[in-house]
Amino acid sequence: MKLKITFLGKKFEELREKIKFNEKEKFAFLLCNRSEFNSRIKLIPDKIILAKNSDYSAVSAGFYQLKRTFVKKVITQALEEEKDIIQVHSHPFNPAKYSSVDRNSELEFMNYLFEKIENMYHASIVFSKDAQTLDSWFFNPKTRNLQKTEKILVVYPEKFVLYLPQEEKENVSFSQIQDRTIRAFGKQAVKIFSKIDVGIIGASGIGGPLAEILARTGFKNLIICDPDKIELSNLNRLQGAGIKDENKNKAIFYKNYLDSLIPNLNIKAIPKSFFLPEVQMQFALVDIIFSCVDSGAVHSINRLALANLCPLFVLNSGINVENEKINFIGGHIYSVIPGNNVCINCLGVFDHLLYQFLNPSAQQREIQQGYVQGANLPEPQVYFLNSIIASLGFWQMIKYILGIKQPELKIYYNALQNKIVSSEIEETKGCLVCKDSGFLAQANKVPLLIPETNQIYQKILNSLENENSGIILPKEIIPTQKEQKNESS
Amino acid sequence: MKERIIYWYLTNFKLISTVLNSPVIYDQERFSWMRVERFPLPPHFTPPATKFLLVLPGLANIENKHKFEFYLYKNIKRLDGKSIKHFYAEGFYNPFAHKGYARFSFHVDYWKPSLNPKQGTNLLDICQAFYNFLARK
Repeated sequence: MKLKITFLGKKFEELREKIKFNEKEKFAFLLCNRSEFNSRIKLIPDKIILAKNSDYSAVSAGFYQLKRTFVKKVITQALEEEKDIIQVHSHPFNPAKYSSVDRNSELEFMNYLFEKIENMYHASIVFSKDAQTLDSWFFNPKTRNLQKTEKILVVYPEKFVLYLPQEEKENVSFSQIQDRTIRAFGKQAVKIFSKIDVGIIGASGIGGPLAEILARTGFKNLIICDPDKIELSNLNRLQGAGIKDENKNKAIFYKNYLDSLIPNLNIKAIPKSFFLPEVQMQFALVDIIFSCVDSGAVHSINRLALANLCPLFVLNSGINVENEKINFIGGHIYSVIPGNNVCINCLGVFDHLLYQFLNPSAQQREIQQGYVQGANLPEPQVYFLNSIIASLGFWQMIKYILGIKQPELKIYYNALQNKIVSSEIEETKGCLVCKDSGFLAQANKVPLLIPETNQIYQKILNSLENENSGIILPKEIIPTQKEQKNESS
Repeated sequence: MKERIIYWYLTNFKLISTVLNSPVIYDQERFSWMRVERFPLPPHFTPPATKFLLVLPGLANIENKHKFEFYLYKNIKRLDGKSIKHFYAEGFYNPFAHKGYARFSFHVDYWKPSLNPKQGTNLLDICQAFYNFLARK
């Protein structure tokens, strides 16, 4: 079982400010949203509940005890809001390290809660006096013991900060393969690369070269998904693939190909569509996502990435040819950083692909009526261009995770004019997907975005058949003034 | 989150019901459609009001403007005798023809909802945009 915690930058800074040691220890509960798949868990802190002076029955420079009423109130709130819990406290020394008192009391409390409450995860963080270092563990319900948290990530607009629990820090070894990479970025950076989980959706012309760049740079943990098989017409651009690889699944091909190049990689290939719920649930748990698809799946990826605080890099290339003359050849990279309040949905750049979420009848109608142009027509694709876009996208991510420079919202590459142009971050208003009051950081509470089947018309017809199945708006569901006030606040 | 989306829909239905002074019937399970029982039509139409079936984005894809589909009860006519544009009364392009509805080929241009019903665009904006579309002579 593995558990990681991912904070939005401003939430983490708020916590650090509130919990900072000030003559006495301080304590707070974090109520968290969760994503989970096969014993891997990601907690995303949503609310900070700091204990007030009146919430302690005793507190000093080296000790605290909370009142039962405070604890009960918070646990009740967590249950009502279907949240998990992280308990946080500060210590009067640096660096952060749990004491034996902490171990005994926290294990006892977590065991107690586990027996009382089903399906609630419980973790803990301790901050040092200066709130610059931390340590963390969680309650493993299978062993009924404390286990080190895998990692804590903080997603800022301009950088990505990784905290590893204390004992993790000791084990660092580098392969000779990384010698030149270390000379470029440093040991600390290569260590970070090896600890980050990267998801790649689409293992074709862009996703393939990108996976290879990541693996060679020291990113060991990759998840690659693609449902398609290699066709002869792909071989003009699939890095590493040859005639013998025809009909192999692209994701599995790249896993095997990269495993043969670099030792000790941990690559998971998923030969399935991103639209399957079990696939999306696995990508919810990664730390960074690359979208290398040219379909409406980019909207599902965008939503999942923001709900789960995964910085997202959207890579696309394109060639426009008319009468055998190239009008445009190039591509773009969008960097969607959670907390920047701008995303693929509010930019509207891929709105023309939203029709793919309609049911098949409606899609067909839109195509026949001419509202969708060029559906199902193979686009021109070339190897060199895809490799350039993959490299530019990779560099955007490196700039971000190492805090070299805040990634630009958009990098636009025009090969005809030999130009790379960037646009700065712009904040949009009212986007449901990327705003704090929308889907941002809500993890598995956000519905997965999956195309509809034809059943929808039949269901509407059935309900029109029986007029009573539709419900006339009753007065009692009308929001009261108090509810409206709460909502707007 | 699901509860907040449901709350958003219910608040929108109440808003439409109040502003249009008409009962609103809706799919309480999936929020895949709503019907305004007396949707006012522009002055060059008869009857002056009719049933308006709006296919909605549902619970999972509320931000997708392409999900909206517009249907009116098909016995409407223009007073000037001209044919109604972008109007599909028969089965081709219209899955609800045999239930008496005609589909309008109208597409939403701007749709940026917020979970706070007081912010962002809402279903009343959609109704208003559809009315404006019908009002074009």
